[in-house]
Amino acid sequence: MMETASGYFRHRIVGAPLVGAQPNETDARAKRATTRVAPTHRLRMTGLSALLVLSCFAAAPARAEDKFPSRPITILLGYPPGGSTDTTARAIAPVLERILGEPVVIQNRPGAAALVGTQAVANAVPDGYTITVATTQLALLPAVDQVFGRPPSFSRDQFAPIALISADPSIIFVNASQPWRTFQELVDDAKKRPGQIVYASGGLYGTTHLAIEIALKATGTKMRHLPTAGGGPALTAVLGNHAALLAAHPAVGGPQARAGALRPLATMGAKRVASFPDVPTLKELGYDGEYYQWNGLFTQAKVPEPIIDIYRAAVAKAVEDPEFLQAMARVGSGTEYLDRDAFRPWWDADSKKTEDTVRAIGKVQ
Amino acid sequence: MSETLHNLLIGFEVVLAPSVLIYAFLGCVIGTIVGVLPGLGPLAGISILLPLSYGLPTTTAIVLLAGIYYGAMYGGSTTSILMRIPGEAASVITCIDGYEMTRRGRAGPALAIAAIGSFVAGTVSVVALMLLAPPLARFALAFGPPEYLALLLMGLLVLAYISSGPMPKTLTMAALGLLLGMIGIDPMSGYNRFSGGIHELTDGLGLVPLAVGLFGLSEIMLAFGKGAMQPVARPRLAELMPSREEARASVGPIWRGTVIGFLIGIIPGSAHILSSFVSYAVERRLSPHPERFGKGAVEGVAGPESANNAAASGAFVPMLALGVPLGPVQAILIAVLTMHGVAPGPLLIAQQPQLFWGFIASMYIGNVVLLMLNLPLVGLFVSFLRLPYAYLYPIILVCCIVGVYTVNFSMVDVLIMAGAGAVGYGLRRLGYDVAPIVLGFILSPMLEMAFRQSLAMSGGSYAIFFERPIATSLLAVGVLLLLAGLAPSLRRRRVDLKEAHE
Repeated sequence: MMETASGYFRHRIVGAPLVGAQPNETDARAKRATTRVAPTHRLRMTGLSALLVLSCFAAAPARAEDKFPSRPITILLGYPPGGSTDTTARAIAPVLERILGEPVVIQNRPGAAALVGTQAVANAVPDGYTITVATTQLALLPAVDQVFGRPPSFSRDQFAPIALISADPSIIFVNASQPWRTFQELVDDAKKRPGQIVYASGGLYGTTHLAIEIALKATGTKMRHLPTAGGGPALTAVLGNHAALLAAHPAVGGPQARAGALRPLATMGAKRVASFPDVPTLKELGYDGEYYQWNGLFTQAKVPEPIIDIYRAAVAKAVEDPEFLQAMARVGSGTEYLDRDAFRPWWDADSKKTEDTVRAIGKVQ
Repeated sequence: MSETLHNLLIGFEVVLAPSVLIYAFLGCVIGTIVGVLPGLGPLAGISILLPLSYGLPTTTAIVLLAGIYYGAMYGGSTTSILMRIPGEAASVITCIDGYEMTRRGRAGPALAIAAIGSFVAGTVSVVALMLLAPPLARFALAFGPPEYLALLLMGLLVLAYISSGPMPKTLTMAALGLLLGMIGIDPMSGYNRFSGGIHELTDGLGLVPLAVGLFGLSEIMLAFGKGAMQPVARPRLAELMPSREEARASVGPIWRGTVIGFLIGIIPGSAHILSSFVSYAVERRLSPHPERFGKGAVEGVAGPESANNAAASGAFVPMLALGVPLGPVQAILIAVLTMHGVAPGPLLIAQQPQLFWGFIASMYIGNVVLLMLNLPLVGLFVSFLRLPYAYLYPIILVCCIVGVYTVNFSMVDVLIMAGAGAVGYGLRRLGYDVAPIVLGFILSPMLEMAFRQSLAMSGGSYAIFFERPIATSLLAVGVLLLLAGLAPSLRRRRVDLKEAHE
């Protein structure tokens, strides 16, 4: 128990200097340190040991080239601790660490709706030592920049997918005191009074906003949008009946639904959700609206293919590891593994849906 | 009642196990350190230390993190009182009279009163939390955007009592704060406002860098400007504890602060920061000697410090009773529960009695530990003031920079702090008080969000503010308070006119 805790603490310290510095600065610092140390040692040591020291320095780069990884790996996240990319990263990091034989350090660099951290990943040195767990933000943030006519802060093709790790369909929950018993009743009511029913989201253009907009488009209805400052406040707004419904992750809405405070009306996956076997999918109800809250592992597009292959093999092993599966089950996240080749078209399709929806929402007046 | 006692005993059984107790203690110690370091607040402390808790059993993890949280709330006042640097957001207001007490050689009593007030407020709030959590949580949910707006408008009235300067200057500074609060992404339309293309600014200026700069750095610069550098009276060790008059004057503020803080703490959003401001305003309004405020009034420390600790406990009510996070710290704690496979929701208390009652018991113990930790530390902290400024100020500066940097690992935050320091120095040289800036800055984004959310709910109709009983009554109370506040000055004007006539 203590070992695990101190292990995490060590990671924190190992990772700390990297956080503020640009990764290439860190490299430069390492080089400076090498040149600085070598001469002083040579002055003091006998010829033999100097030779030994020198040969060590000479050998080091050669070893680094033929073995990856040979130093700690950083999972750099755009979201704060406790969010779904963070819990996924923390579930897989110790397992990857065991498989790859090098420490895997997690760094959260939240800010500007994940833009700060995501941009830092995009601009990191493409040596394979900086990876990230990311989600729709890779397609979303550039699309929002486009809507506002801003130059994009990064582009989606700066990233190379490694694997899809998890995907959970959004579930549409209504406050239990609302009259609708089925999704169809909600749709009929919304058609009768367009723009009158209020839904809450965790923020403009966020996953909880896009999910409802996709469902509204599929059903040809219109509702009023109440943006809040995050998933928690959106849930609170619906529990207090200040908004009638929201789209939420099964693990977020689940406990409230089991306590009778929320009622699930429909799920947005291709098939039903295991924890809600009685709740139909939109597809079953005849509406074409699919939406997932997913997490995938990415690195930079410029990372050499052999390194990406090392990660692919490691993730393939990690997703079957009981430690990983247990950690994912605890947070109520459904493991959905897709290797790079299958993940890429899936990601492209999801990104297109995100971009189209953001464009359809456009600027909010 | 006997059932509650029985449950509480189970809770103590859980917490008094050595493996849990040691983490409760550890949490309090870490929290105190985090709180004392300027710039590092409870949220930053918990986020940084969160990974430590993953390997622990659920109850132990929550007890550890909760200990850090209220430890930081206790410790946050230390630097406010000693150096005019707010350790965290809720201690901003303590800078005013706390630091004035230090300048008059009463640093020890100020720190002791803050610790005792925090202890009373913490303990009373736990009792309230234990007995009243479920009904209070349902009350909290009734607070939607319109109710919140009405409450925040009352918060604006607090402005009148926050500064001892002339009203036009106070209002100018409040307006500046309201404007600064608008920097960042517009939550309703997604536009970046006044961010000048700097990504970090789209999240807004941080409260902590701004407050540390405006209060702390400006003070250091002013001290240098004075040349003589002798603003602080060196305290004698015999004067560490409050005098009898100080103790007597603190009793009322501590009780009122506890009630105000607990009630405000329950309300969703970031209103708990306001609890200390509201308490300060109330004490000043009730005081027979309001002119003493801003010049080292012990009530100005006792009230707000009790209020912010009571608010810290109050904020747990909706989290434990309903599984909804009302602030960022609770959001992280909920994530911890989730990561341990505990589903936070309305059934938490029924399904996880060990967790709930263990948590409650740990708060009782934490409050005692913190009091025992903080009272003896008073002497140590006060002795820092004996350091020559040539050593003390550089140390403070380094702590400020490191603390503010560590929260987001962002140089932009450090630059904001430096800029705020320069602005604060200039304003104070010109005779402006910086406290209203901070209050305006806190209120502005909340006011705007609540106002526009209300209109989003109603489809643009203002009738929403008059259709909901809680919102309407709060607005009515606000109008009454405003009239009551204006009445004396109107009457005075009439008298002035009459005299001028005669």
